[in-house]
Amino acid sequence: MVLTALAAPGAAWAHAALLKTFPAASAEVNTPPPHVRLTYSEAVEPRFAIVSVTNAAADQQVDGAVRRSATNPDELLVPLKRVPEGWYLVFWRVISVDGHPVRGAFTFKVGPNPGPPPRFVIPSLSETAATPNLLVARWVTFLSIMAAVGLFVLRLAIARPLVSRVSGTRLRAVSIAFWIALGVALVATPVYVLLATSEFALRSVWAIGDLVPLLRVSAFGRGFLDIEIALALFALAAAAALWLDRPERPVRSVAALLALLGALMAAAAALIGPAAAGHAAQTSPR
Amino acid sequence: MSVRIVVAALLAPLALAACGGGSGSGGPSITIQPGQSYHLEGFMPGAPVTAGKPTPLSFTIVQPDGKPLTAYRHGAGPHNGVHVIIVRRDLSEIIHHHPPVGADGKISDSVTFSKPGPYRVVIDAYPQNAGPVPSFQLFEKVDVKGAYHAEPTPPFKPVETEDGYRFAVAGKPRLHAAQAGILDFTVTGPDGKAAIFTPWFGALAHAIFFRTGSLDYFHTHVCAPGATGCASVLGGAKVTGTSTTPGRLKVGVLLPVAGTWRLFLQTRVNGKVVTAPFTLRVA
Repeated sequence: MVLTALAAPGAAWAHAALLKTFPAASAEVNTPPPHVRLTYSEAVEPRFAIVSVTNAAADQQVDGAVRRSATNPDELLVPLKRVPEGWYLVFWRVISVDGHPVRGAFTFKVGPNPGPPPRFVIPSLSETAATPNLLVARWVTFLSIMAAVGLFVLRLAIARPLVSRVSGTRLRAVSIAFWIALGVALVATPVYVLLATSEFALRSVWAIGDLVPLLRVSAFGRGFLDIEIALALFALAAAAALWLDRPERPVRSVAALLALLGALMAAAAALIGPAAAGHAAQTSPR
Repeated sequence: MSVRIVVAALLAPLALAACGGGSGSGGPSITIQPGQSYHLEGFMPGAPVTAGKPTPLSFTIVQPDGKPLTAYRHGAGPHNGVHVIIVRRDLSEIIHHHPPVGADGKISDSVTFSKPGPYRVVIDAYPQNAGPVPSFQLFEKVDVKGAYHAEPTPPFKPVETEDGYRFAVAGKPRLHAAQAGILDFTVTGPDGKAAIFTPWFGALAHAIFFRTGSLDYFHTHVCAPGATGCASVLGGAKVTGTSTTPGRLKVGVLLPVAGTWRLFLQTRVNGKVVTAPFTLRVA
């Protein structure tokens, strides 16, 4: 299951692709377009989208926030100032529903006499989300979740029967390690989601007021919030299970068994979460 | 002891978040560098000029890399060198020159503006190594001192007579934006005989179009049979005209936008360049 969880994000490639634009790439239009229209292969989030429309002198022509088309959820509308004749560079960067940034650039010209084609400079903008901080945060998150679940199972399946047979041994060390791992997982998961979202949206990670609303609008953010909820439930159920657990007694109480079952289910949900939050499960982006 | 470990473990990711904060870009914007383009430098006259006397007009076209453009195309057909086309804002006057290019890329001309008012200067350049775009146009303006009285655009007339040459277009042209059309002209000399055209700058006739108001510019050529490099290109479509018999000109028209356009049909007959203006409605 762990292998599947780790392999799935790399296996699927469901990144957003730009299918159609208005004005069309390299095309000449003879009336100033009121907006640039970008049609993607999926419903990318306008609040994550960064679109720049500049003339040869690099003057920004975008006049307002990028919004979603009322008629097509896959379409973004970028309002423009009234652009005079000339050449324009459209540079766009959007976040796929799976959480990956995608970018591109194209030119169009406003005629009938746009003048000579300029040599536009296309900006270099990180297309990968794999910054060192993000990688560390991701691995801390994944490893701590796995360690917490692993230690819980270790305590349940190996340490507990051992303690009841070998005198003088205690479960305390395993329990402490479990709680540390779970504590790290509970903190690391939202931190990772915030870091990743700040990276995607090109906003400071401290602009939490901007980032939190964005968390709920991407499948990526929602997936990790689900993991956090599963982890919290796991922590509650595990706390109940450990509190009710009496290793010295030969038979477990019904309450302890129920708590244990709940803890194991929450643990499974937390493990499946990372696989479902990434590239996979793209059926319902909104 | 164990409590301290737990606290330390809980704080570790927060420290990580602090590191991440340093790499935040601060805002959801990006910076675009200015692009480089062909542009004019040292355009003269830089101040209002006097009507009725020769005025020096000069400029240098600078390439995107900042060096002056010195290599212009030479060869068969009209798409060569530099064309300087000047129109008064009301399109009542047109000047079409082909000034020489200096070794340093400076282009010098002498122009006589007949009437006061604002003029638009179109510099149509054909660089030798143009890349995907064979030519480009740069635009400037010249003010001629004195009161500007705009002359109304004359209505369409099927016959225009210039310098004794009679230009007659067959039928009333029905033109639509972005749709190619052909205008049939019959040109007769002062003696009533069919005019004999001699190639002028690579074409039997130059059809220069300006849209009234916006002064949008477009041009096509009437090519001799078998002439190379004569067709004009608009949006991937080749537009050209032909003339196979004396006195007859087929002018290809493909205008990008609707409106009232002025066609300046320029031909060389008996060694003399004659310009016949027509008004065209494009729906």
